[in-house]
Formats: sequence, structure tokens, C-alpha cells
Amino acid sequence: MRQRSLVILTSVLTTGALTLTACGSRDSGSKSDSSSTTLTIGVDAPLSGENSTTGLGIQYGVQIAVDDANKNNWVPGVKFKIKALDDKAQPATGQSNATAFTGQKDVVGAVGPLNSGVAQSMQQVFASANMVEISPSNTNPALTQGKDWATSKTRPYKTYFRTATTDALQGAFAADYAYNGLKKKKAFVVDDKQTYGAGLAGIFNSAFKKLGGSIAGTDHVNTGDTDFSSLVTKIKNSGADLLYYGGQYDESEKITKQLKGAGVKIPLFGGDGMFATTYIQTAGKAAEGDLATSVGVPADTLPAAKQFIATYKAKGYKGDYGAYGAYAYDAATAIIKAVKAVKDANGDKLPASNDLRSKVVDAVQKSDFEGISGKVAFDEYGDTTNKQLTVYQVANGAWKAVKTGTFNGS
Amino acid sequence: MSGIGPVESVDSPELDGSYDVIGGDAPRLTDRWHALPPRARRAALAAGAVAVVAAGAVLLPPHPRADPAPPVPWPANVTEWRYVGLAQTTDSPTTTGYFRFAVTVDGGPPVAVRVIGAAFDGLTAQAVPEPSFTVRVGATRRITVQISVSDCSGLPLNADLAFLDVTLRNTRAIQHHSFIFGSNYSKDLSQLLHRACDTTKARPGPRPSGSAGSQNVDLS
Amino acid sequence: MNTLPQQLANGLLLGSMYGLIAIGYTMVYGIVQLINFAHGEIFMTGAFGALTVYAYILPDGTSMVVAVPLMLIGGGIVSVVVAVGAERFAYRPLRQAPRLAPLITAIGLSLSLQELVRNFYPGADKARSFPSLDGNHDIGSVTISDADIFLVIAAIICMSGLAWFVRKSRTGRAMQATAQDPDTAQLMGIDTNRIIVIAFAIGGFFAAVAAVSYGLKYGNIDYRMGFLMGLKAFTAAVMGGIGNIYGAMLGGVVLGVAETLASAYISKIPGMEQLGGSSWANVWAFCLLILVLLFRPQGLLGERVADRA
Repeated sequence: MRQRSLVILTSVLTTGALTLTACGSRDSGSKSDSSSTTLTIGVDAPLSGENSTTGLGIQYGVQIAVDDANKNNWVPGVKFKIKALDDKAQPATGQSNATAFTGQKDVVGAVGPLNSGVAQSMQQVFASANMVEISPSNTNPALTQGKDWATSKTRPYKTYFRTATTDALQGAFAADYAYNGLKKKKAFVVDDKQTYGAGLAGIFNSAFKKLGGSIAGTDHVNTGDTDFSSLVTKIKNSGADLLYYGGQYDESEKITKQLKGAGVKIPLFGGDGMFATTYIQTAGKAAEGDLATSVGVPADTLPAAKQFIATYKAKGYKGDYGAYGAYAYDAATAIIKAVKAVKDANGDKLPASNDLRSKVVDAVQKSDFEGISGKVAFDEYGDTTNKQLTVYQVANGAWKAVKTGTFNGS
Repeated sequence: MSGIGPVESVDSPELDGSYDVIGGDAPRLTDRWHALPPRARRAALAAGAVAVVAAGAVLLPPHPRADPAPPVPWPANVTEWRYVGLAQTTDSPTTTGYFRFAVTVDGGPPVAVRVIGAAFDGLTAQAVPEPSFTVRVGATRRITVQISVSDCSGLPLNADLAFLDVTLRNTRAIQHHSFIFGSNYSKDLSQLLHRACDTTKARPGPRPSGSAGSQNVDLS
Repeated sequence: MNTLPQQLANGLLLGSMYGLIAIGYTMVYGIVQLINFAHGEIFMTGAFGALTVYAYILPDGTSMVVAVPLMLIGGGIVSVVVAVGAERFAYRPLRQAPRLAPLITAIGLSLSLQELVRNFYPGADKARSFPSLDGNHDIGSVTISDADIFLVIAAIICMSGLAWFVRKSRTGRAMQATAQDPDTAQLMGIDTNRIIVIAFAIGGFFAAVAAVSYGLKYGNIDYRMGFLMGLKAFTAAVMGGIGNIYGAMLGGVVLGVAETLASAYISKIPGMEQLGGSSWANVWAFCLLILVLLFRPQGLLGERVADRA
């Protein structure tokens, strides 16, 4: 009798196992019928050291987009993976990363970088390889609209796009909120001399003066500085009622702490570069009341972003998705959708590597879909058409949206 | 020997348990199994097989779950404003201007809009004739906003980017939102500011009556 | 309001911190002619040692009056252990090697210490908050915080203690002898290895004092904090005359004051607007170093080089 029981037990197990394998093979069978190719999406951002909190948010934003594309089979027969390179916020490193991406045959496009200064060094590399580059966070206007963007706009590189809006808008939005919202009339403007920081501070400076405010003084700091006591004394003595800082959280979190520590109780106002949870963690109580503008509307008002945030938290990814995670997701999605458009237009086959790259550039230009940060489409300069901004203020140890705005140029 | 399955042939005579791979320590379970009547055994087997198949079908493939109904969007994310141009008016005082906008709502329930200001303390703005109005999904509503200069001091005459502050309300939330417009609106607004403030630089203009507008709110 | 007194105070405070770290460079150089480029990282590990005491050992809500001395001890132990360990395992095996070998070892050690802290200390890859002393005091037109007072008192105690130790104590005199001529000192019965270890330990402890003041003053520390501070302190040591402990302190103060005044006032000189501001502080500090070295190559208080063998 025992033998029989064994036979039955074994057959039940085998049936179960076969059923399971059948399910599995049905799943993979549907994918393998059009021989699967794997394309790589490059990610360039600072992943260690300075700015890495926001940089990692970009890397994992792209990771989630690629996982979604593979899971939902967005492009049948094509799998995507990411290759993330650390640019350490250094232009030279960014440039060599760009060269690495363009040299690798299966890389179809790149998301990044975080810093506008790094972007400047990478644009040319991507342009000559005819490879698309979409930055989720660069805000310097010159990157898409040329050096003389204020007077005559010309697009320098047709391979460069961005899902974030520009500082021309961000600086003006901040100036308006400082002058009309906070009723501040005298601002002290400090920047870190980087492409992003100096550009933003300059735009704030002129916008604030145009509105009728006065500039109590200006100064510059170096990235990596830690002692700001001399600067704090100058600000204190200038009688400013607001400090505007163009730069990243790495320095501003220290400046605000030393400023409040010296008894100067004026808010520090900055741009998207300091909109990160790290800023509040490091500066602690001193951050209370400080402000930052950031591109886009708050992620928690975007229903589509909820899933993204839930996934990000569930996977326990490092970094901060708050500022650019959703934009990085949309940038990667734009590349993936462009690959699909190219494949569909080419009789359901992927063109050869070089041809694919240049066709993807054209397809990205024509992007038009609902991303998780809103509508994703690019204008004739490669700028996003979705121009929304938010002012955040630190209240009870967290960034709270206090005002949102939408730009419509027409 | 590869992998699974009993090592010994099924009816091997020397079955003393030492070669038993699967059920070495489970004679009691099998005994209990044999105590069951054959029908119950068959029924249990069938039920087990069905359960395994069902579990496999439900759990294994990336099941395309039906999307839940999309939640109600926040009003600022679906409302679009476009500047259309100056309204043709004949009898406006020098301190008041009428600006026409097209408002579109892309999704969700209707959005109630109220214009609350034009950034500066010295400017008042409201939609005329009704200060608040509702825009349905898919519709574009053209409205007129009356902007009056009440205090020239502290007003920049040549602002680059001009703001219009509104509250947007739908069943999801009430949001304060700024709409920022490009050069056309800024130019028209700064013309108004010049007209109102160049001559009367020191003297604040009179507060507008507010009902002077004769514009209709129309749907198109 | 006249900002000069406040800016001078800022410079003095910054300079005292440079000086405390510079002691470590100068003592080691004075005795073994080695530029210990890992000293900035010894400073950094001291800060993390002190943070460990505060964050993981002391119960929450410990009064700072109790916590600060314990943090000093904790940071001091870590810094001294790292400094002595570096001497024993990295530098001593290379004592007879060509000059370049220990120098490169120092750079390698510096990078390894940074990466060790970055990878293995929780949260060290970005700024970690450090308990700060925030109370402010107004003295005339000068505002200084409790952390500044701690720094000044600590610097004065450390410096006078060191001066007494080197001049009066038996070990201190042995140290001077070793600095003058290690071989002869050894022949006279001085255990030079012990003297070298003591020099590293004193430098490490002073770095820990500076690190605790740094944390209390700025309120956050990170794994890169040692690089720039180490470089500045090395500059201070060279400016004051490397090998001379009073020179290290003087060099630190001169450097700190020069930096602060340059960032505060150079932009006010007509025609110099472009060359002023906080971002130019380092440029002026190093210009000053070049000037000092041009006119006094041995440093402000340095001995003439010919005296050395």
C-alpha cells in the first residue's frame, strides 16, 4: 500500500509542478516568439558625494521606468536595461561618461545629467553620435535656447531635451513669491559660481529688481566650502530680509545653519537644487521657514505618480525622488516610447544601431503622452511644454507646497 | 541520477524505508490517507489539483489587472489658461483694463475658478461680470478679467513675466495657483500700468466700481 | 555698523581651528620629516568618533556639559588610535625608504580612511548632523556662540599644555633632542620610536579637539571634511614654519584672519570687485602663503634650514 501512496503523492506533485511550469512557459513563450533584443538606457548623474541624494533619485526613477517597460512589455520584443554612471557632479567625468555611452552599441539614449554645468560638456558628445539625451533636471536656459537666450533663441543641439522647465521661469517665479508673497523687499543674493547656481541667482537678481525689490548685496561661495562665517557677517550687516541662494543643498544647508546660528533670522530661498530631504535633515531646526522653488507640481497631487512613489519606497531605493524622480521616469519613458515608434514605423523591426539612434532623436522630438509628471512633449528648443513650478517651504521638518504656478507663453 | 523522483522502482521488494526519498518520515500521514474511503481520496485529489492549477493561473503570469477608475485629478493639473488679448472696450477708465483669457479643463469634474489677484498689492483683478465661474471638462471658456490699478507706488511698470493668481476648486481640492503668461500679456499689462501711473505717479488711482464691465462670459 | 571686529573674530576662530590641526603636521614633520597627508582624515575620524559617543553611546537628552567632555574623550581615542596605527603600520615599515614612499603611502591612507568612513559609518556619505552649541553672546559689536568659546578655550589650554610639555617634561625634552638629531638622540638612550608615537598621538588628539569644535560650531560633519581642513592646516603649518609648534598656531591664525578679511573687504577696494567675495578667499590665502615663502622661505617662525642635518 505504501508504494501506491507514494505514486499518488508523486503524481500530485508532478502535476502541480507541470502546471506551474506551463504557466511559466506560457509567459516567456509569448515574449520569445519575436526574438528579444536588449537595449540599454544610459543614466548619468552624481551617484556619490555631492548632490548624490538627488542624483540617486534620477537613477532609480529611470530604473522604475525600465522595470515597468519590461514588465508591461511596452515594446514587444525589446527589453531595456540601465547603465548608470557616476559623474560626481564633475563636467569632465560627465563628458567621459557620455563618450562611454556613445561608444557602447546597445545604448539607445541617455537620461541625465543632474547639473547644468555637466550638461554643457556632454551635449556635444551626444550630438556628434546622434544620440538622444534627456535631462530630468537641467534648468539653465542656455542649454536649449543658446547663449543669448534672453534676446535671440537658437537651439544649439538637436539631440538634447529636458523634462524640467528653465530657470528663466524659476527665477522669476521665486522673485514674485519673495516680493509679493513674502513681502520681502531687500534680498542678499549668493551663488556657487556653477552654471546652474550662478544662472539662477542672476535671473532672480534681475527679476527681483524689476519687481521693485532691492539687492542688499551679492557674494559667491565655492562648492565644498564649510565655513561661511564671513559671509554670514556680511549678510547680517547688510540688513537684508531674505537670502537667495543659487546652488545645491550641499552648501545651502550649511549656510542656513550658520546664518540662523549667528542670530540672523531671515529665510533662505533657493531653487530646485536644494529641494531635497537632506537639506532639512542636515540643517535641522535652522531650515524651518526656508523656501525652495522646484520644477513641476508636488508629486502627491499627481495621481499617476502615486504608484511610482509607492514602488520607489517599496524597493527601498536610496536617494530622494522628490525633486526629479518623476521627471527621470518620464524622460526614460520618452526614450522607450520613441523606440517603440521607430520600431513600428520600420515594419516592426529595429533599425541598425546608428540609424536607430538618429530615428529615436526624431521620435523623442514628437513625444506626446501623459507621463507621471503631467504631459510630456517638447517644443522646438527641446524644452518641455509642461511648465509648472511650485514654491515649497519647510514647515515642521518637511517641505510643504505653498504655491503652484503654470506658465503659458502664448 | 537526475533530480527528482523515487530512487527505487515503485514495486521494489526491499522497501524498508531506508531508501525512501519523499516520505521517509511520514508513514503516519500516508496511513491516515489510506484510512480514507476511496471516494473521499479521489475527491481530495481532484480538489488539490484544481487548487494547484488555480493558484498557478492566478499567481504566476504578470496578470494584467484591471486599472481602477482614475482618481479625481487636482484642479491645477488639468486647468489651462491662455491669454487671448485685450478686450475691446470703449468706456474704460485709465486705471482699469480688460483682458481676455481662454480657460480649458482637460479632465475630472468641473473646475470652479475665481480670479483673486494679479500678484501686486496695488493691482486688483477679478473676472467680470461674475467673479467666479465654472468650466466643464473638454469645454473652453472665454472669460474677461478686469484689472484695476489701485496704488501705483511699488508697482513695476515693465514686468517681464506677469502673473494672475486664481483659486481652482473641484471635488478633489481647492488650490491657489498662479498662471504666468508670456510677452503679449506682459506688454498689454504694462501699457495699462503706464497709462494709469505715468501721469498720476504720486496719486493713487480711484478704486474701480467693479461693475463697469459689459463683457459677457461666453462658452465656445 | 563696523563689521571689522566681527570679521576679525571670525578669522581668529577659524584660524584657531587651523592651528590645532596644523600642530599634528608640524610635530610629525619636526621629528620624522614626514608630511602626514592623512592628518586631515585623522581629524575627520575624530569627529566621527565624537559623534559615535553622542549618538550611539550616550542616552538621548544628555546635557551638553556632560556630553562634550565625553565626546572629546571618544573623539580623542579614535584619532589617537588611527594616528598611532598609521604610524605603526603604514609609516614605520617605510622609515628607511626613500622620501617619496611614505608620502604616497600618506595619500593612499588618506583615501582609504575617507572611503572606509563613507562606506561603513551609517549616513556618512552625506552631511550628518552633529550636536551643536547654539547659544549666542554679544560682546560689543561681536557675536560669538558657545561653540566659539569652547574652541578658544580648548585651543588655549592645548597650546599652553603642549608648550609646557615640550619645554619642561622629560619626554618633551627627549622630543626636542630627537627632532635635532634622531641618531644621536638614540645613542644617548632615547627611545626614538616611543617619541615618534607620542608625536603622532599628540597630533591626533589635537585634531580630535579641533574636530569636536568643528562639529559643535558648524553642526554637521561628513567624510570629506578632512580634505580641505587638512590642506588649510598644512598651509598654516608651512606658513608658520613647519616643525615649529608656535609657528603652526601663528600660521593658522594668520591664515584664518587673512581668508576672512579677504572675503569681507577685498571686493570693497575700487577696481577689485571681481576679485573679492567668499569664493576668492582661498586664492588670497594662498597668495599670502607664496608671499611668506618668497620673503621667509623657512616660514614666519621657522628655523633656518641649514641648522638641520
